[in-house]
Amino acid sequence: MGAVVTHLKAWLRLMTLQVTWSYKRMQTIGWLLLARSFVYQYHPQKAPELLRKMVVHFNTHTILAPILIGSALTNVEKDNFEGSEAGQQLVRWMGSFGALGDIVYWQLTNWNLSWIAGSTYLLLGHPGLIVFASCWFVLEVLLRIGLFELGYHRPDSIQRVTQFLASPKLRTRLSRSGFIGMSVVMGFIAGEALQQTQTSTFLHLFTAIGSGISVYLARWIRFYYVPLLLPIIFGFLCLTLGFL
Amino acid sequence: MLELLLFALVGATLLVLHFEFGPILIHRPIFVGPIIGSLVGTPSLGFFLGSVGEWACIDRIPAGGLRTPAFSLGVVAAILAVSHMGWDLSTTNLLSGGYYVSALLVMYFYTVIYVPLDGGLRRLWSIPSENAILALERGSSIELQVFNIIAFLTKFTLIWLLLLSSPWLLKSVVGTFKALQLFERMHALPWGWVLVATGLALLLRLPKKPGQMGYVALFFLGVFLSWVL
Repeated sequence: MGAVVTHLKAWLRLMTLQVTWSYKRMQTIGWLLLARSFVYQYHPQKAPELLRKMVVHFNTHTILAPILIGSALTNVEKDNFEGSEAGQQLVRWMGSFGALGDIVYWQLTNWNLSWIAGSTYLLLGHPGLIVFASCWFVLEVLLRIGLFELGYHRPDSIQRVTQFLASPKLRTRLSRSGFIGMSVVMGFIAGEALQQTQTSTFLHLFTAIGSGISVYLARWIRFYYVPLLLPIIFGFLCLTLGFL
Repeated sequence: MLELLLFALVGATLLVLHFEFGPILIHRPIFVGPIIGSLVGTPSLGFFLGSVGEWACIDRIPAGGLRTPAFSLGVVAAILAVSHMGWDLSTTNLLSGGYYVSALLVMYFYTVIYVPLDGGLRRLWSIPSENAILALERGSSIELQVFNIIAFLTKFTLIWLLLLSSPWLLKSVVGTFKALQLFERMHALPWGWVLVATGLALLLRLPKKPGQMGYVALFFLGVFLSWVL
């Protein structure tokens, strides 16, 4: 029962790994809090000493952190657990996991999820999107729990997971589907929005010119916020200056 | 007011899924926009604002600790502000130029203002982090546990308070426009070009590679499909 509670605490603390992030210690506090429950579960007498040895500078991507943390804690049940080997395991993998996680999560998964969410709303409305969001929430939570337990019980699986996620074929396919999906869905939504804005053809034309200028500015001088406002500003100037 | 408090709580709950819990990708603007929009009765506005927010920042990823603008917060703030104003919530009126521009400005403000506030907290957390580790070395882990809870509650409260303040910012924006007699003119604005510009700007920001223009062509295919379907 004690071990079950310890794992439940770990699952919850996995989700809050990033909340105490600071520029100086990054995810170290989150890691120590997570490790604490295990150390006190199996080595209550020498827990403070073990935790001192487990203080390392830790920062990696939160989607892959569970498997890494699980593998770092895999020997905690053993009598000869010294603590320092856990920190070494973290330091060994956190850099590559950080880079891999950024690509897989923030780029590949994010792009695909965005166009799928947009399509879901267009097809099923907000009830469909809410159901989809709920399912995705549960999926991500279960994924983190699954990765943690995988790392804890099968630490050798880190290599296989890394190879799978770093696979060029996987990345190419997800990248392509993300860009294609986003392009079409963005265009569809933009078309819908244009149809809903009711104004004169000439003002459409002038604002289209303003949009083109904003796209040029964003592309060449890397000022990303211009497309948000410049089309409207351009159209408003045309109205104010009496062109229409 | 009670409704605003409750809606802001729901909004803050979704927004902490960015860093404080997870992260879980449903914190993205494309999700929170329609979800909060449906909660307050303006799903269409939520979807369009969410789409703008999503395309403006989807390639701005927090890789390597990079600070990214808080478009999700901006989208939720704008939607709550519109809802609290009690504007006519039928789709046509709500999406007319003046209303949309006002909501867009509020969205932009909160997108930007959150970054230094969050950055300040990240710097501030260095102090209790060091204290917690020093306490750990002395054998005490209470500071470790308490810090976690305090950090979460602080960030949640900050987001919640920012959302609560959004209706008053929107009132100021609309009041200024009306005082300058601009609001009537803005009704005719073709705001839809914001989405076209944001989408194209995103596609052209992508690294140059052989298929890049193909994605732009697919974008226009999507526009064409919206007309025929």
